[in-house]
Amino acid sequence: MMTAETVSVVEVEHEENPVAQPRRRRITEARAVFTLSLAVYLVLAWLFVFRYDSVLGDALSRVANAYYMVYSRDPKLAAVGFVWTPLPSLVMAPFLPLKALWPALVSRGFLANIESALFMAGAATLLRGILADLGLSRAPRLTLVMVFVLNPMSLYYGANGMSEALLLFFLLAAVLPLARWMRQPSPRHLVAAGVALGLGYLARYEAVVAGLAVAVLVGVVSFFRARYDSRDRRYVATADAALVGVPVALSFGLWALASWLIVGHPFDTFNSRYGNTAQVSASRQGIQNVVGGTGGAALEYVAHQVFVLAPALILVLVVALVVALRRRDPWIAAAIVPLGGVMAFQAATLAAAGSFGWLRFQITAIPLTAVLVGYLLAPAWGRSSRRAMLAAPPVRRRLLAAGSALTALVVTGAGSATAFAAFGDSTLAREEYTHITPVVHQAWGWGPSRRLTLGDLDGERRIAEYLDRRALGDGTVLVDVALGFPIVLASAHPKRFVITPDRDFPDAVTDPVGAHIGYILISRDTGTMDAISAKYPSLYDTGAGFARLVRQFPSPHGNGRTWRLYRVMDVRSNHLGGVTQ
Amino acid sequence: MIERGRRRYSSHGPADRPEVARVQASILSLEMKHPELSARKLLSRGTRTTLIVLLAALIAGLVFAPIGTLVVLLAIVTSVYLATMLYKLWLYYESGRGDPVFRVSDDEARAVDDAMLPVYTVLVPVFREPESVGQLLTALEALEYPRDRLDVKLLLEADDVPTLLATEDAHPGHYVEVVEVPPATPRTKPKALDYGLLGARGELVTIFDAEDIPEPLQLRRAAVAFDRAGPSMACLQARLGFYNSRQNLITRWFTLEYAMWFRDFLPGIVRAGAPVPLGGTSNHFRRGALIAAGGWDAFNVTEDADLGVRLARLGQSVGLLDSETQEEATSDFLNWVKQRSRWYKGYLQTWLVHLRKPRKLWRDLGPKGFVGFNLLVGGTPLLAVCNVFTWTLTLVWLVLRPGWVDQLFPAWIYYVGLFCFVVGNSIVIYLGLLSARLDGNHDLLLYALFMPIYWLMMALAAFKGALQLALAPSFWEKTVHGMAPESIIDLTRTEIDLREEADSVPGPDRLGRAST
Repeated sequence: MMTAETVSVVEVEHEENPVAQPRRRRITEARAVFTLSLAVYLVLAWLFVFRYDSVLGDALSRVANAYYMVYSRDPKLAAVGFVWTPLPSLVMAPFLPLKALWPALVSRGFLANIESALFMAGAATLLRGILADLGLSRAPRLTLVMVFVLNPMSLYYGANGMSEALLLFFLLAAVLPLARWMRQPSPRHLVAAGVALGLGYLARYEAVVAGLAVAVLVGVVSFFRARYDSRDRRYVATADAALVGVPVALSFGLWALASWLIVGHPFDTFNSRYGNTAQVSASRQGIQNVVGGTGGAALEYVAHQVFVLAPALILVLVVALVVALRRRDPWIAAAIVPLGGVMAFQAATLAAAGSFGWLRFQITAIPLTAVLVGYLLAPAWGRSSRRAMLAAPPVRRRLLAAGSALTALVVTGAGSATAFAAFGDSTLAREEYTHITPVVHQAWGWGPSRRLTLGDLDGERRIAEYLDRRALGDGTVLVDVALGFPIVLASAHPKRFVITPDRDFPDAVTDPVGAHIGYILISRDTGTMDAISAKYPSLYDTGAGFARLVRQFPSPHGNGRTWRLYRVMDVRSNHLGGVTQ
Repeated sequence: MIERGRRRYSSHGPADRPEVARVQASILSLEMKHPELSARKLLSRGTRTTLIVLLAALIAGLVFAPIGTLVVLLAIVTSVYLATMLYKLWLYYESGRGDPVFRVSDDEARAVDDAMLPVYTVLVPVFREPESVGQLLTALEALEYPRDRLDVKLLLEADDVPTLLATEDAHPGHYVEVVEVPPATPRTKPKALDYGLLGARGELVTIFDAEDIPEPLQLRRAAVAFDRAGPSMACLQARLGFYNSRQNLITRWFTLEYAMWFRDFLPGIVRAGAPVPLGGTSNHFRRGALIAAGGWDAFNVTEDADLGVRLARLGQSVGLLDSETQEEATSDFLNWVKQRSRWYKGYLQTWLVHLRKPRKLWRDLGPKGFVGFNLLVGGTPLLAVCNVFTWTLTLVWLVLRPGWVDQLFPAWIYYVGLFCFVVGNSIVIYLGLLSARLDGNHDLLLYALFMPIYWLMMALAAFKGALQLALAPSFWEKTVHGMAPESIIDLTRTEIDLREEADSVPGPDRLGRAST
């Protein structure tokens, strides 16, 4: 990772750094953190995907979005889709051809798992860098990093292919230079932070909040720090805020522009039938039942989630704020503002009934706690306290380090225990409960348990096998990939499908016969997620007067979707009626 | 012309004969040493053949396979855009990673014993700017350098009577020598410099323009830096800034551009191992290396950039000196375009001259230098010209969405082109903001944001420069033989234009520097 080298450079600059070590050793430590955590996440990912067949639809669909750009009938960059952010898929795109060597990279979406493992390992490495910049000695530093790496949330989201790892990576990639900027105000740090946040927006929409908040923070700090006359001060503060804010604004603007040019609407996630707004409102009642309402009730729910992820956060936050105020040191704002900003935004959208309120939306609480604990354990910034520490006898220094490490372990380790316990709570950790409990039960032989989500996409893979055995032409099977993506990914002939991002998809839905569609794949209870059943509400049940049921594919384990394959009848040329059943 | 009983200035007296021989020698100084690197005959036979073949291929392609040819052209242009963008990012990154600039503190500069300092020749070409003389002499007087080691040469054209008179009136110090350059074509600044160099006594040589205000310790700093750098360092370029930087919109943009170039790109260029295109004035040379390189090319209109490349080819190092010379920024639109078109034209000249033998250039500069030279010296004016077309094309596509545009853009050209246009331009604007902040121009942030308008001006100038070079290639050859009076007049007029730019700002504005 590039972070290792840059960290060591800054370290060298600090005179009389009590933990100053030779450059080589630091690089090795960062690399070790990266490599070891990567190995842990990859092993877990492999177990989840191949041993227990626990594949997350959201992760798999990111592989699918990349896949359409290259392997669909109508390959184009725009096939990446505009509902969700493009970066997770764009990063995967260059590695898609590797499916020739290992088909499961695509068919089971293992590429996504590798991606999340890489970014979560990167996040751990960045956390190490931030703690090292603080001058935190090695024992507590590595303890904090280790606890972060092994936190059940990091383990699961490092392994499962979701975009949480990217969000954490880019946020920490912004925190690191921002924290350096607090100590040493070079505008180049702001560029690094701004670029990280700009890329972060392309990975997860939440990053825009972090970007805004950080721009304001930088402006304020810069204004009060500048020793110029008042006029110049304002300019400098504006310039600094712009440097960190412009990349986010550019990402935001360009993504909206691209979306507007291609799908006619700048913010598709609010607008599209497949977007967040549509999904949340379709599930509104279910969400309300779990969360307990909007406003105050929702905030209480979020507070509970934050508590199980990082029980010590509030306490540590208060102490850190008091200490920082007494030291008149804005350093911790570099961590609190972006990481806390995302948490606050998620809480607010849930309170306003605009979010599912998943547990993972508060994941930033975990690195935030680690950084705050590190801040409190690190020697105060400034010469005198560092000198005092250097002057202390070695025994005392070792005792101090051991004490710090123990404190770090207890304070942040508590979160690991509560988070793991929460995975068994089907209201607080809805997703994790349905995906992790069955794996844990099977792995540890805790008696029979419901399969819940295990193998829930197996049915789609069987449909792909079934279709692969038939001789079909390209562009003959119509399917809305909002739900049907696992079929296309598992198929050996992806070009046979007419899929949602294809430019002729709307026409094919309107007039399947005219578009020479032979078959339509459709599933039950699609909500807003299927343009075909939205157009022909009776198609799944009756064939809507133009299609004949060929075969029904029930979910093999009873926990997935039931699909039906319909043969399109040319009602214009022969009036067989076509409706069976 | 005789005025008030003063000395008679004439350019045709028999006494001028030796000077005429000297001026011929100075014009041909580069021809003698490195004829293959002189722009006197711009197009060598090889270059001409290559250009004709390329042009013929282009025409044939456009006639027989217009779409295919255009696609290939667009592919080439797009690749160059992408390469330039990546290269500029790399330069910026390099300049952030380390600082190659020689920094000599005030104390270090003053600590050197006068007796240890080398004799320093300061060449100041002055042409038709009598009103600048007073300020110039004040600026020179302010230089902290032992007078017995200072060899200032004001290079005046012998027939430029007003300036000669103004100089005499101003009573320059004993260390200032007024050199009358006999009138001869090409009447260019490099020719005057070569003429001045013939009589230079200094171990070190530098150049200032008439309206320059060099930082007083610059010569001492340069002397110390040369000593530190060792004999392989042939040249040190000091930074250029403007004293009228906040005069109007154009000077604000110009200021941002100059700061970015001198503070952010040049250090990157040095670190990236590319030849440094020297800028106008305040470049300091070891005289031996300068003479060995053949001095300035009297036929190149950006003789400074050309010399930088030539030094690099000869294996000499060019470094950067932390010291600023204040200049006057061109504040008038037309003059700005004229000046800029001369620069672009000169860059193209330099590019063509050095590309005569590409393989030799590759051997001289190495791969890094070769790429850097082509992207910086060739790419800058060529892409500025291309910008006119690509921006128009993009606009047409956005507004009208005509079908034929789709034909011209196969997917990868389309994506790369779109990426360069959107992301590339955004990056450049962002780097402009960063430069404004890094270089202390934070009050110009808003102007940095609207830099694309300035790029339009650049595109216009590039078009003019390229057109001038393309429509009048013989222009240069004829002047050499002195057989085409019209072209001589043309050349003179061009030169007057160039010099007059500097005079276009009325006097009072120059005092504006006190408040900036």
